[in-house]
Amino acid sequence: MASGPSTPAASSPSVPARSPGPSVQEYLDGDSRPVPDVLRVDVNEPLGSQDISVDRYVSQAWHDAEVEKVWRKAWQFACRTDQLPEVGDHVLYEVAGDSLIVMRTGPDEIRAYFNACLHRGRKLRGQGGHVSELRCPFHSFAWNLDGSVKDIPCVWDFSHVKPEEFTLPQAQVGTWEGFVFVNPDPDAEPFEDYVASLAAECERWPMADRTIYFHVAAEIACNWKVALEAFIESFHVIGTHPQLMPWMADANSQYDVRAGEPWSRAITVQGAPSPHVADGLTEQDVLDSYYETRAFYGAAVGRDLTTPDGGEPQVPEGGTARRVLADQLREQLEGAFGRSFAHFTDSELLDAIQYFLFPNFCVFVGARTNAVYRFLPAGNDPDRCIAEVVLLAPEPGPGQERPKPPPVRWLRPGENFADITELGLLGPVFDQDYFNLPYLQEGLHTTRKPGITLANYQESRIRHFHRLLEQWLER
Amino acid sequence: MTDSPSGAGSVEVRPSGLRFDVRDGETVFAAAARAGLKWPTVCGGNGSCGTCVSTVVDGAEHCSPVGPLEQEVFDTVLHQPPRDRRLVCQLRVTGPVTVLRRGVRPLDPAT
Repeated sequence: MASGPSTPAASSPSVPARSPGPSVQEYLDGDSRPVPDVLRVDVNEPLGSQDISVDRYVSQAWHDAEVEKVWRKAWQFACRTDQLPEVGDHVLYEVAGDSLIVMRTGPDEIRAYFNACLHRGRKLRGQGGHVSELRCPFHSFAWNLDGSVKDIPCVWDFSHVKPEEFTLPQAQVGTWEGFVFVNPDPDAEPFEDYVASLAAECERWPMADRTIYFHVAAEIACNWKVALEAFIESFHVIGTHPQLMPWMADANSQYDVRAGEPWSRAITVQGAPSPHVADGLTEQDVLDSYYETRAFYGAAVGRDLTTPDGGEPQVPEGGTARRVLADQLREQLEGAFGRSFAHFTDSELLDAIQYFLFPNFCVFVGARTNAVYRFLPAGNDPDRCIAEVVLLAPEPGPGQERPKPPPVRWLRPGENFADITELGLLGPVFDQDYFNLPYLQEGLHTTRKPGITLANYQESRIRHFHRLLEQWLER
Repeated sequence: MTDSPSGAGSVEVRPSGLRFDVRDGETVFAAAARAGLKWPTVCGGNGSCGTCVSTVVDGAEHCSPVGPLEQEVFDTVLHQPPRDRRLVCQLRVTGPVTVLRRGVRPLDPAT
């Protein structure tokens, strides 16, 4: 039988109760490799049990405050450096009416210009791409890529304009492990400071050389926070993804929250059963279920866990599904990427280890595909958002070409994530998640209860996020 | 459309090999409970969670058709068409049926 439940930790006023079943740390005790210290941390600073007001998700006033105090002030993930290989390459980063041209302006320099002509305000660029100058389509005012003014047509008519004062205003730019972050606030703390503690956390999992395998975006009928909050807890597996329970230790996930950090972490063990169904499942059952639902995405490029010739491996007497699956994965990844994955722990191969960085950036770390989630308001409508998933593949192997980042794939109206083959088994899982969200938003509009109630432990990252949000809105 | 006058059905569960009879009009889930077996579930057999979904490996011709409640779970929870999968809490059988579902176990471990 899969390992039995351990005694649930008694709760006290300051320490939240924990799920029955083995803890993440107990699973790590059984890892085949030495587990790094960063995964051995288990911390959850209690932040109270109060409800969160519904108002935050539905009111225009709250949205407007977020625009002023968060979207115009905080560090936000804009793109990957991979998307800007040459000087002049740029993407548009747009949120709540603001638009930034995020452009490579030098071999080691990326800038973000506010996307507005200084003549009469027309957006300089309507789309990303590659340009050698920034020339406004309206009257042909032009700027050099370094932001200095290049050409004022009929300059005789602009004797009142000093060219040196007509330099394009910039937002701040920072990069971390290939992620390009922007901040519209010139007075914001440097990005290196903001991301320092998260960067220290993730040192073991460099991502700078990873490639964008796929990028999907969808406009969803819910507030951006509603969407975000659906993806920073595993509690919902019981209702939303019942088919995953045989091999996903959902309720006994570990959630690491420190009040003073702008980030939090979740670790959900996979290849082990949910406490909701563990009774009655053998290790072989867990392994067979895992193969059946193919936990991997990227089937087309050999990153899907395929059944070896001869069928599903047997779990040896006294062995665990986790151990067998991890070994299979190491072998398969070595074949796909031409390098050893021997040093990775079973956990880094199997488990969902996810960090959230305020305000809207989630990244799964570990040896396999690293998924990134981003959530943004859609325009200025508190009832709509844009949700995105970026899949980062491990660095190509020797002799393998570095693929060009694919264009963003927008979900069409009426289309399901399951229709997107590049998502593999993630497609139906996302359909399950995203199906809830419009109903969530509608429910928030009709509820007579003034606030939502959060689980003390499993939803502590949501609570922590709201604590950070309050702090930012009070600045 | 019944296969025998008494409507007697039976189920064999793989990979466990557990077997039990199913009476006329009762669901496979209820029949399993009557036989002292627990089927994985969250809602307890009410057709609202999708957890009991199992694959009909043999005997599809003895299976009741998918009704609206079961279809709703496939559409809105599982997000896949039933095909050879069924919710056993809604499934009635009138002959021998083999079902693949891990986690079905005797309620009393000594059994």
